[in-house]
Amino acid sequence: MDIILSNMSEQPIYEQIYTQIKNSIISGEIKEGDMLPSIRALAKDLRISVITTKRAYDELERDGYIYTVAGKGCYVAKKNVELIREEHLKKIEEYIVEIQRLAKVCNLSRDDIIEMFNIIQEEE
Amino acid sequence: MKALILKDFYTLIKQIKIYIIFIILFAIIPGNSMALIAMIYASMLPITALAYDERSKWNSLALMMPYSDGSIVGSKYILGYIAVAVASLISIAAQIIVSLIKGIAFEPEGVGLILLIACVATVMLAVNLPLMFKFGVEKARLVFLAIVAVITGAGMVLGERSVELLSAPYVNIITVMLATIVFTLLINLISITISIRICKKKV
Amino acid sequence: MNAIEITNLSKFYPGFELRDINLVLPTGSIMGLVGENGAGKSTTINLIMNAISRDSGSIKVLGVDNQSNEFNAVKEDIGVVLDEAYFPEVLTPKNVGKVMKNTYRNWDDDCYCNLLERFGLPDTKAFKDFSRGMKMKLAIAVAMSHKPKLLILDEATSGLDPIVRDEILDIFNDFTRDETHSILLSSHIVSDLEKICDYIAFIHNGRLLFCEEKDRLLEEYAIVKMSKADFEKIPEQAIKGKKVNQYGVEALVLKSAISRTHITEYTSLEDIILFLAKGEKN
Repeated sequence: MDIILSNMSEQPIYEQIYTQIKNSIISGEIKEGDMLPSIRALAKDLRISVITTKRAYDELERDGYIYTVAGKGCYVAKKNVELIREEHLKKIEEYIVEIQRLAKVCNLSRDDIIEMFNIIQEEE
Repeated sequence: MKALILKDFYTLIKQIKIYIIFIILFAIIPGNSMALIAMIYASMLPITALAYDERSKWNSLALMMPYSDGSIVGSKYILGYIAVAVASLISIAAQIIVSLIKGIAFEPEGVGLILLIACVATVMLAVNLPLMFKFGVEKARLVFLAIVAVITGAGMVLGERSVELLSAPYVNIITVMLATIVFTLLINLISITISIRICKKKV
Repeated sequence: MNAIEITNLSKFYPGFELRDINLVLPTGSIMGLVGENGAGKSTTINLIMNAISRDSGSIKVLGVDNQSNEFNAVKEDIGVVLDEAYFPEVLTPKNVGKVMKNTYRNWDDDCYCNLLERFGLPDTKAFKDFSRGMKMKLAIAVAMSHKPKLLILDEATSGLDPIVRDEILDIFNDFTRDETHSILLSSHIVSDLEKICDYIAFIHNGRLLFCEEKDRLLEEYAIVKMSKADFEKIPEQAIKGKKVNQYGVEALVLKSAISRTHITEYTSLEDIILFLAKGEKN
């Protein structure tokens, strides 16, 4: 699992970790039942604060991506299909917002956009 | 405490080597004034150790280590006592060897004299150390020299009179010895108490 | 149990006072104590170890009141490195090892020798011939070789070149892989603290200005540069420090109060501390 952190990013460090681990889980790079590095080991290896890795893990657990077994460690949770679908829906919404914004700039109407959409769909 | 004495020993190794050479040299030269110098040198060793401690600010660090109460102070005294004891033994041994070589009978008074000198050296130690702890090595040295000057002056003035005193009928070598030893022990006890109190106050 | 608990600590000297310090070092974390020279960092450390006596408040180290009789035993578990206080200069590392063996119950000779080797310190060279960096390394080797649970380091990296500093920070980082180990590291080199600390405590003129999670500080604050006009628009309470010149304003603000576009560069911990310290002066 690669975790690349950036100081220059708009995202706080804990969020970057959260996102990257989440993506690894969703993409299948780490599988259900795989054990994650301990909060402390991860912090020390990445040379960041334990408080931050704990925060990232807490959020991952809260959102259902991982679970903790007391005394043993953190494991990847069963891929929650619902969760992933929700993720994707959210992404689509974000794209639509962006499309709308660009459309405004280019002065396209809603019908123009729908036409463009249909053309592309047909090409597929 | 063992650790602290060990530390001082390592600190003073160079001095100790020189010192042993001197003792042997002095012991070969006839006369007991040399034993006095050797003994006083021995009682100065803790002070040299203290000077090194001061230079490296060791005390600040030592206060944070698990040394028992009083051992920082006590180790310097014990170092002094050991040094004086060793000096005494070597002087006595040297005297025995010299008399064997010269083929003359060994005079037991020599031992008594060395014991007396050891007491003097120990008393000097007892006076010096509290001064060192209170004022630091540099200032204490000056105070100590002043005290030595006074005592030497007094000794010279009373020199004549003390010979008279010693010849008095009720004065017995044994009593003098005992008195000196008791006096030495008392001074040392008082000194140690004062030193511990001085060091505790600094905290 | 916290590694260090300081409550309402005060110490008065003619001309300087340390006042109402409240600080907690949770076990398993690394706390950086920042402040300019003379701010009170070394005094605080001396008070924590009871090397000097406090005028008020309480201090508990590893759960034990540091003025109690049990504290001497606790010193066995504390590794200390001070700024400029060392072993008598004629001792060699080998000598020091022997002395420490008789000082600490849990002295680990193998660990000590390994560290000496790792640091490249010659066994039998007298301390006085060491460079500053080597002296520090020896002090650190000693502090870590008796299985300590808590490391207290006063300016342990000042005067060292960057490579050595990084090496030493790495060692401290590794030390806390064990969750029962904690570190209190005082320094005026803020960039070092930024690398490994979990918490930052800022002491200024004898007062504790704040004690925060380092990452939160970096998340919440930003240095911004803007025109005076733009600057007026920012609410007063979001401004934590500012520098005004004829070309504009440079200020430390809460990120939440401003638009992202004003943030043009990376705000380091050092920047934050400088602004907060100057802000105090004003």
